[in-house]
Amino acid sequence: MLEINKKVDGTALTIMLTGRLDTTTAPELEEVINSSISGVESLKFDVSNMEYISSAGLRILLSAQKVMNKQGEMKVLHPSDDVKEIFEVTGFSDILSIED
Amino acid sequence: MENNGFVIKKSLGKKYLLSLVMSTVFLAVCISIVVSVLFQRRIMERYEYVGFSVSDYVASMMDGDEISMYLSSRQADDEYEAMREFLYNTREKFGLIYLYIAVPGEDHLTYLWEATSGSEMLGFEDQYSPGGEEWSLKMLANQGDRQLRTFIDPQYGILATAASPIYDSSGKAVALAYADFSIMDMAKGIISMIIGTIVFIFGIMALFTAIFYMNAKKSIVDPIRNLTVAASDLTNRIDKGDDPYVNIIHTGDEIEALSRAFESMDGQLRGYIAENSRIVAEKERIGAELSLATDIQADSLPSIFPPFPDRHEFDLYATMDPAKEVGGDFYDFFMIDEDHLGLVIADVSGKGVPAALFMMVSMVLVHSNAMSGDAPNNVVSRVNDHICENNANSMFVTIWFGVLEISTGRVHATNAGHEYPVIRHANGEFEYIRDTHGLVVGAMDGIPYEEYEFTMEPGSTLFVYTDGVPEATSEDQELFGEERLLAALNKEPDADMKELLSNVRESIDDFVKDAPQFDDITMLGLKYKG
Repeated sequence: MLEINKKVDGTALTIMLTGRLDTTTAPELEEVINSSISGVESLKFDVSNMEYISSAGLRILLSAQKVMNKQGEMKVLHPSDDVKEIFEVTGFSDILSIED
Repeated sequence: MENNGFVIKKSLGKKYLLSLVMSTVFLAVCISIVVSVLFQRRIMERYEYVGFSVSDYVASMMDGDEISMYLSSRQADDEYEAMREFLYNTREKFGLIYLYIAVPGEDHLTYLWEATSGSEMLGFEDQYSPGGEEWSLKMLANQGDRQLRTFIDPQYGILATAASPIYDSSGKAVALAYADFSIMDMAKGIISMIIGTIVFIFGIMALFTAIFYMNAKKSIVDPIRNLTVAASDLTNRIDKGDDPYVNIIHTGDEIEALSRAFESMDGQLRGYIAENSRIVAEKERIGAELSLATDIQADSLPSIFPPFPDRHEFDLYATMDPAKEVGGDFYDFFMIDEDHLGLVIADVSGKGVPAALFMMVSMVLVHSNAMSGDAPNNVVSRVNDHICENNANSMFVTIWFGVLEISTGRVHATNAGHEYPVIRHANGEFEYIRDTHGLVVGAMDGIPYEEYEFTMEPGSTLFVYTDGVPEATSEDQELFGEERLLAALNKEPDADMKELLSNVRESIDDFVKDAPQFDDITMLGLKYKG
């Protein structure tokens, strides 16, 4: 129920997420990130087509943020209003760099 | 033999036998036809030669001119009688059935001599038997191949006729010398030969069939039967401890291959069954441990209501329903001192055992830090720092922590990434407190949390919950949502806390219907009576 599309451009990695990022789909994304984050200096998540993110999904973004704090920058792009509200309620909007 | 309700209707042995018998019959018929046709052709060639030799000989002895004379005068004389005697002797000598001289005309045959009859036959006219006229005229013309004519005589059976033309002095064919002889011997010969052939072939084939059948039974049918017996109910027999199947077929063919494959399958299956039993035992052990963990977790949440029977200033009730055996949600409440009641509701990221472990740690940390009586934001901040120290897995927990000052109804609270609390001021409706949100606990150390304050007048109700409530999902993937939650609460706003929580739960159940519960559902309600 989650579609993950990767686009690599040198040291920049963009991950497009479509669907629901929840307990069932989070492990897939975690695997994708773990296998491709090494050496990445700019990580972007395009979540414009993400319908929902649960705490399990937030955990994956947090892990990625912690890694990227050491090796570059990370951005979350174009969240829908529902997703943005989740970021705000959980305080993630304070630690993630979110762009509309 | 019966396998899984399947009954063998036609065994391989019977099929094999049937096809052997059928091919034997077919072979016998074919051989009989070929042999008898060839035989008949050879014999007929022989008969043709002999028959026409006799008729040629008789024809050569006749005088064509005399025939014309007898035909016109129809008077028998001594010469005529001498010829008849010659014909009679010739008939005897060659063993002929009939021997006669006749003129083939249109529609009928005019007799001149007949070997066994007297002069009354002279000029006797007789009808042709069917096809006789055409054949006779062809013999008279004496052109092309000569062929015997066969017919059935009521007295003598199957006869063959040869006929040769008799010429007069001008070289004109005037009559035919007919010689009829029996070919019954040949027909009998063919029949007895066919019978002999069939008997012989059947005898040989019966022998071969028996040998093939026995062979097939031994090398195909019996091994397959044994394999079938071994294969049926295999797992049960392995469970009972029956010996493994051992290949005893050494025919070097497909049957041996099948048997060896089965032997190896039996071995593998035993391996899998042993492995499976081990896994099942392991699962049972984990299941037992999980159920114990469920109990431990349930026991760790305060679950005796009313929790403080001697305090009449408030009514408090809380529930936690994990989606799996153990949950990541928790609630907690405790008296910090005589005038302060601590209230906690929290939700750990993820579910199951990892979340449950993290939940236990978080719960203890919040409780122990809260007992210091420090401001809620400082308590949460310390818990956050503590959790961040060792959190390689980036687990986090959303916490709402509030402290009610019982004497005044004032609540000091901090929200670390948790759902909005719901309040109902006395005689009002339930509504959300859009409080300021800090970051979830465990995400980043050293960050400050804000505190906010609100007052509960006597008769006010506070309701806090985890995201399992608004995010309960129906079969149509629709979320329960904030609005439905308010509606459920407002249904019976004056109900006691236990009822209030059960109203919400019923409302959720009505909404999701048969969809499985994905997340833990945890709620805490507090009514302040003053």
